[in-house]
Amino acid sequence: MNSLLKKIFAPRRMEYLTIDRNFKITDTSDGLKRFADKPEEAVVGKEITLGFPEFFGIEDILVAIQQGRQADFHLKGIARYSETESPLYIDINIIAYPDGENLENRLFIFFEDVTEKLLLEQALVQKSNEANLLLSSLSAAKDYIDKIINSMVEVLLVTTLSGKIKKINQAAENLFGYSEAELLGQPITKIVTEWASEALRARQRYRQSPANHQPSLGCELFKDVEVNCQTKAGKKITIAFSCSTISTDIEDLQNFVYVGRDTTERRRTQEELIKTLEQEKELRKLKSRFISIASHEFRTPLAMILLSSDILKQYGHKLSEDKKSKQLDKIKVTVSNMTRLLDDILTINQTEAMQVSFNPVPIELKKFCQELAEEIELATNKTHDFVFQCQESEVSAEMDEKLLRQIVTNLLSNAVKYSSPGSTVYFDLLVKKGWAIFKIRDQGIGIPQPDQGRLFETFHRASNVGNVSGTGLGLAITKGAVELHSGTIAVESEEGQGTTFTVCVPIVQPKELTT
Amino acid sequence: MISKKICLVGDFGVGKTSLIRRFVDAQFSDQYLSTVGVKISRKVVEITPNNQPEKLKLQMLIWDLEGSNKFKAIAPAYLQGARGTIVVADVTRIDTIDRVSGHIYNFLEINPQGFLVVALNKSDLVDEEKLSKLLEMVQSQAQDRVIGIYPTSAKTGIHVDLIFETLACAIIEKE
Ligand SMILES: Nc1nc2c(ncn2[C@@H]2O[C@H](COP(=O)(O)OP(=O)(O)OP(=O)(O)O)[C@@H](O)[C@H]2O)c(=O)[nH]1
Ligand SMILES: [Mg+2]
Repeated sequence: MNSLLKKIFAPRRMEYLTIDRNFKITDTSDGLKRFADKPEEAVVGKEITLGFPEFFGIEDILVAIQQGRQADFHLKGIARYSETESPLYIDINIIAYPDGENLENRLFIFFEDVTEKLLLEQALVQKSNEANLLLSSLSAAKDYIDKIINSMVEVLLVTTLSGKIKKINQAAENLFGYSEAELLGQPITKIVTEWASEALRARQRYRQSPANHQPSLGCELFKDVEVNCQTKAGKKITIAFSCSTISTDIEDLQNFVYVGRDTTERRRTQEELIKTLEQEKELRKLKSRFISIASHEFRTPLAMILLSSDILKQYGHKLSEDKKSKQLDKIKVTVSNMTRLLDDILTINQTEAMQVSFNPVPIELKKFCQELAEEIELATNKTHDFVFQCQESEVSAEMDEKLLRQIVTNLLSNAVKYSSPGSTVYFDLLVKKGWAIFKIRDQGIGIPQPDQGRLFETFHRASNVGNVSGTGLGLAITKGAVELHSGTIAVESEEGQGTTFTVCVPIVQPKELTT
Repeated sequence: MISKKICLVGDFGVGKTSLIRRFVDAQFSDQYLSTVGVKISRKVVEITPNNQPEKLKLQMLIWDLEGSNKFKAIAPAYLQGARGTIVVADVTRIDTIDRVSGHIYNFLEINPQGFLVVALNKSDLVDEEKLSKLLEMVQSQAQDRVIGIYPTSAKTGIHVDLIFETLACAIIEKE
């Protein structure tokens, strides 16, 4: 009943009007005014465009329909509302009917209320447009952020708290040589081979008590910490990373964001600088040690000379000739020791400046070595057994006799010096493929591993030499002399077991070197 | 008094309704209410066309059309009888600018003698450099029926009266 009443009294959905050839209204249905833009103008006799502005400009279409050149014309969804009123939408249809009285067609214009339909449509369009606007602004924002991230010179990595990679930028792809797809979901340790302890601690602290940190704000965990990384190709690089947390879409679930710079080059130069500085420091240490050794080495004999000359001066007249000459001998030996020391210093200076003259001459090595060994055995008061061995009947060679003497003497006297009396010193001479090989082996204190590499450096002395005196020059001189012969010198040693020095020298000197 | 019909066309959400509201009612709202169908507004303007001795009163019948999108073109019936049109694009959405030339073409197909103005709306949202770059881009798509390209803002009102009046003058002058 109720709905029937509503239907009866409800405004009609359709109204109409007719117009003449001058576009003046000739007839209207009762409820037409409701659909007019200006209702007072929607009356018989008025021009249609006054009450219905949508007809303005399409007069030629009206004429065409009236004359039968065009069947009809539709305008859909014309809105009629101002802010305060409830909206009204209408569809308009224009058609022509033959008029009984005149011979002309009459133009009928029908109006249909389509508010309900259009309001529904509006709701749909609104939703769809809003969604599309949101989408386009989101994708524009994402695009923009992606561009920023990818234009960064710095490497960018985002990982989960457990270290799974979630995002990397272009710079990271370039530096590490992986594509993003190869790294997504992988642990960050795939590229970071070694974390600095500072970084590890900061992250650990965070993981244990994230509540201590402001969750909504990103917080910086560490800044510019250098860590070792490895590229896909296996190249080792150093990256200075800064790390912060960011919150994800889930509250209090955080991610780590790493931003890093490649500092491989910087670190290398830094390391080089440190090395040079250390060498410099070492050299200064060696020099001052040399000065103290030298002054010690000089002071002891000088004191001895002083003592002997004092004795001669004060008690000279009381001393027997025999005792006098003993004191004089002492002075002589001491002076010759000092001379040797001075010689050493001079030699080393010369060899280091490559100023030593090199004069290879024909020489028979077997005899030369044998005699030299005997000489040294005697000079060292036969405290050690010397065993010289050579399978050859004779070894003719071309070498600098003075330098060769220095080489063999130094090595043999070292063997005596650094092994206990009664032990044996082995001296082998071998010939192999044009090379003369001198092997000098003792059963002495040996050389600690760390010292072996630096044994031939000027002033370097092994850490276990104790009270045994030495200038730290002998082996440097020896090496210089070997190198003048285009030879090599090597050492094998074990602490407490003994030491073997092996010197290899070409039997005949290459021509261009003999000049 | 003479009346002229003009249309505002362009993609959805570019600010057609807002430009009309600014021009007719001097108001602006941040709220977005999509237009469906078409809404006709009137405004009487006083213009002094170059080829006329005196000021002239003109009633503009301004058709605010439902925005188009990739899938929905503008119904040609709405464009019938329009002497000019304002093609609106949103400077924050490059795709709406890409479609300016399509809108120009559609209008001229129905009204080959009509005039057009291009409004690069929401100019308050981007920087000068971007704006001049966009102007250049549109310039290259335009042709001789396009009498002007202006950055506009319904929000601040900049160049809003200008685009309507420029179009009105052109329509009167070239008649
Ligand atoms: N900042 C700014 N916002 C604007 C400007 N013009 C319009 N807007 C906003 O953009 C949105 C869409 O504006 P409308 O005028 O409804 O756009 P439309 O072109 O009529 O949209 P449809 O009717 O769907 O085609 C609204 O939220 C407006 O507030 C402007 O110049 N500057
Ligand atoms: Mg609108």
